[in-house]
Amino acid sequence: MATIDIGPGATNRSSSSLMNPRTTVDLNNPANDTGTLDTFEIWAYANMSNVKIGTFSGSGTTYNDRDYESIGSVTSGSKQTFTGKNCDVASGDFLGIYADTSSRLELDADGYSGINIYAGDAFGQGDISYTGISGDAISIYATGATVAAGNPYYYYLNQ
Amino acid sequence: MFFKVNTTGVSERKGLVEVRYDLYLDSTDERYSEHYVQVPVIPKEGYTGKVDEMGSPVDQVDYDKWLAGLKRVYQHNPFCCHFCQFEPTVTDAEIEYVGKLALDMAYKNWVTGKLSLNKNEPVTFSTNPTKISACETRVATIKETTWTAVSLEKVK
Repeated sequence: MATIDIGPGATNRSSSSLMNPRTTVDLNNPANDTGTLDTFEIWAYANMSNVKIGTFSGSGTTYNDRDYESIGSVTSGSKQTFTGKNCDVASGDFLGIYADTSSRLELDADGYSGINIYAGDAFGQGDISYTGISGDAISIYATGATVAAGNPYYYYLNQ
Repeated sequence: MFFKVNTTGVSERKGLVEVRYDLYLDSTDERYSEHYVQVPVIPKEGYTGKVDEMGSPVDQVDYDKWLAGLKRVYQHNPFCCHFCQFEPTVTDAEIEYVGKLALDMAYKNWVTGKLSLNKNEPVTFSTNPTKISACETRVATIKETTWTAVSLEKVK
């Protein structure tokens, strides 16, 4: 079983992005393999609400979510880690996030691969057309593992 | 250390009841200060200077000056938020018991810096509409319940 990672990293960045509400697909560090993501990291600048995070396929300005996880609220000021999830991911997918009005994510505006934004909740909506913004990265990240067929969930809570 | 059920993260998920546990450190726990942090009190109107299409400030110097002038307060954040999936028949006592297991597991992984090693018991997902409906009903009762903080010592 190989390790999968996706997203630019949940770090304390130099600026912030306001969710109005908004879905943001981050083009940095697409998934390196196919499997399941079980750990997500988010660094919020201001407390976030009704957060969803998931995987997107697509290119150019059109993206479709493959799978997503409901997170709920996310507190600001430190890297928040969410474990025990089960989100499908395919090699080349991008990581994206949705949050309600007034939520804010840490963001860098220069030096990265860019992001795509959509004014609304794109999860479960099929193909959506996005507006691209070059150079940006937001503070999201996820890890997981490739999973052999017939073994959909790796576990050991009591270990 | 202690945990609280966070009802904002409780939902029906793939035919199961998914519960979110927010896991907190006590001041004597390892690396407590990483999640006991000072945060600015952001006014409801937010930053009123010029912003771009992302809502990000155009004038970073002006923004930094505004940010530096805000009142700051301490905030105690979870060191981990762990999710577990249950059958819709799960009781409140079972939810609380599994929370203790999750806290114990997560703290061990926190100490070694490997929260991604947090794993769950095996579950079987379902697309059965009757089961999904039962999960939605149980989720509603969990959200209506007043959950209190539970320390590891209290559950033992």
